Amino acid sequence: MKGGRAIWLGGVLGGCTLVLLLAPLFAGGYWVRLLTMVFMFAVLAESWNIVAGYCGYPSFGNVVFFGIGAYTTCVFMVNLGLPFYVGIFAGTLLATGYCILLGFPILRLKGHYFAVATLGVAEATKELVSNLEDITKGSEGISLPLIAGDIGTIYVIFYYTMFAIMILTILATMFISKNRIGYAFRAIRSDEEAAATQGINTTRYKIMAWAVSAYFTALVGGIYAYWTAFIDPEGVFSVHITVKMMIMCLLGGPGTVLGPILGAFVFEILSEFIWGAFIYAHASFLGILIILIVIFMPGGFMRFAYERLSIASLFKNIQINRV
Amino acid sequence: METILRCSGVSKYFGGLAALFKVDLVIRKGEIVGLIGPNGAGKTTLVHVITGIHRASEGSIIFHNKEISGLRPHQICRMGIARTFQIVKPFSGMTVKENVLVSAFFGRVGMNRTRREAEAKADETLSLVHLFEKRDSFVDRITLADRKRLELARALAMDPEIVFLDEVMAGLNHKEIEEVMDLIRRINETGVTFLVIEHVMKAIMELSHRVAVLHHGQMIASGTPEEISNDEKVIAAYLGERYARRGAKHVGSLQP
Repeated sequence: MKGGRAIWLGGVLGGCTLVLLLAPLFAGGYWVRLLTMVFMFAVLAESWNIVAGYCGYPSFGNVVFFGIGAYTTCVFMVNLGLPFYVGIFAGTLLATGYCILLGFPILRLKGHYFAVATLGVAEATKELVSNLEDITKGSEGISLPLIAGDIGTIYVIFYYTMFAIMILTILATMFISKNRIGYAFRAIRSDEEAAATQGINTTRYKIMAWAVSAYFTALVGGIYAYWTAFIDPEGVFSVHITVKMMIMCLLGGPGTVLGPILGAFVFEILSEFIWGAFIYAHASFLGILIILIVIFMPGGFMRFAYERLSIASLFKNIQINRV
Repeated sequence: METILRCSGVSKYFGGLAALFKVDLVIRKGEIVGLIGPNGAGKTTLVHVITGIHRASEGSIIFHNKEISGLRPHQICRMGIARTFQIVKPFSGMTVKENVLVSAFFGRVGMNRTRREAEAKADETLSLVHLFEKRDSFVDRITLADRKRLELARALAMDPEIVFLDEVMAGLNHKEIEEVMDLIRRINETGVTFLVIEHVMKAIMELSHRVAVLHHGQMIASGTPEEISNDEKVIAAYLGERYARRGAKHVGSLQP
């Protein structure tokens, strides 16, 4: 029975992967663009999941790493004339470093206080970037030189890049969740004091969780900048991006490997259709939908599936968050 | 016998309240030491201070010739000091086995274990405390007695040199208490030292090689179970006249 279900799950996942791999061959530019966006948000939601879902530290300011990744990439490419890969490498390095530096003071705070502090950091960083006009051109934003070549082909390249990073993020989360590190994260989420007395260096593991989260967030930030070819502080440091990654993670199932990915697909595609169907009141419709989902599926799709349909018993290694 | 833990003049103040005042305590290798005292006497605070949850306001705590006062809880744990919590603290959302696995993955030597070795250690410890059959239950769904066993299992899976048991017998029935006592003795024979905090007086008197008594944050007596049960100060502060009369005859027996 178990084996049969595993095969069934493997088949579904394999099928999805195959469809997404082949999609650019038959789908139009609209779908390629939409799915690239979905992959990006899947990475963001999964990154948020590592620090919030597994480790129990809900960062309300994770967009700051996205913004730093995007801005560093642009500044390196435009101001210094360096190639993209140097820019994005510097971006992820800077964002991860910034996260570790912030982690020491901020990860001492718990619950709401941590949330508020991270929100403050993100807003403060946005102001800083807006005011460093010599480097960042301030609130005007930075345009990147357009990439030479066929625009369709370029978008397909971005599609596969984002897809690859999404797979990488899923694999990283899967690795963490099965590993000693994942046990440390979940122990910290459940009871930090008890975790410390079992020999877990809580400071180190909390910073590790946030740094991994920051790394992947900055990585897609840099790619996003190159993809859209224009960024400004209001756009890439927008609190809406944080809110979106949180909603997606919570919808899908925090503390599970595939939950946030599922959440990103459902939310992004749903909001796209609602946008199309209700030009004027789409935000209200989306809001109502979110409320309904949260009421009827607390703990996300994965928990719902686990308890009602018991499909998730298939996902043997996925842990259910019982906060 | 070699002294492994020595607290000298340890005090802990919460504002103006002295929860511990100049406490001296010596624990030798291989001993089972009982720690008794009325509620609020500072027993749990002493364990908190030794294991690094609280920082001592003054005094020194020496473990194997090293000052451990001021170290963080995980550092103290890695030196070989394990503890249970009076108010049990299982990791919710995890199964019984996963809870013990955390201790086997970390603890004193857990960092060197592979997953397979850690799982073997967890299974072995779970069998020891009779929780093996319930290893896949979520901790939110097991009884208090099992949670107490789980606390014990987590402490043991850390490969400790000394274990502080903070009321692991509270809430257990007669038979279960006998089981836990038997378990403590068996583990003690393998060389593990214990400090046992307990209100189940017969268990403490039967189990301990030595007993220390805390009262209002001060160590008022320490000695063999016989000495303690005849100590005037201890009788006045904690045991009461009735126990002294009755207990003198029955020290070392669980049957009344």
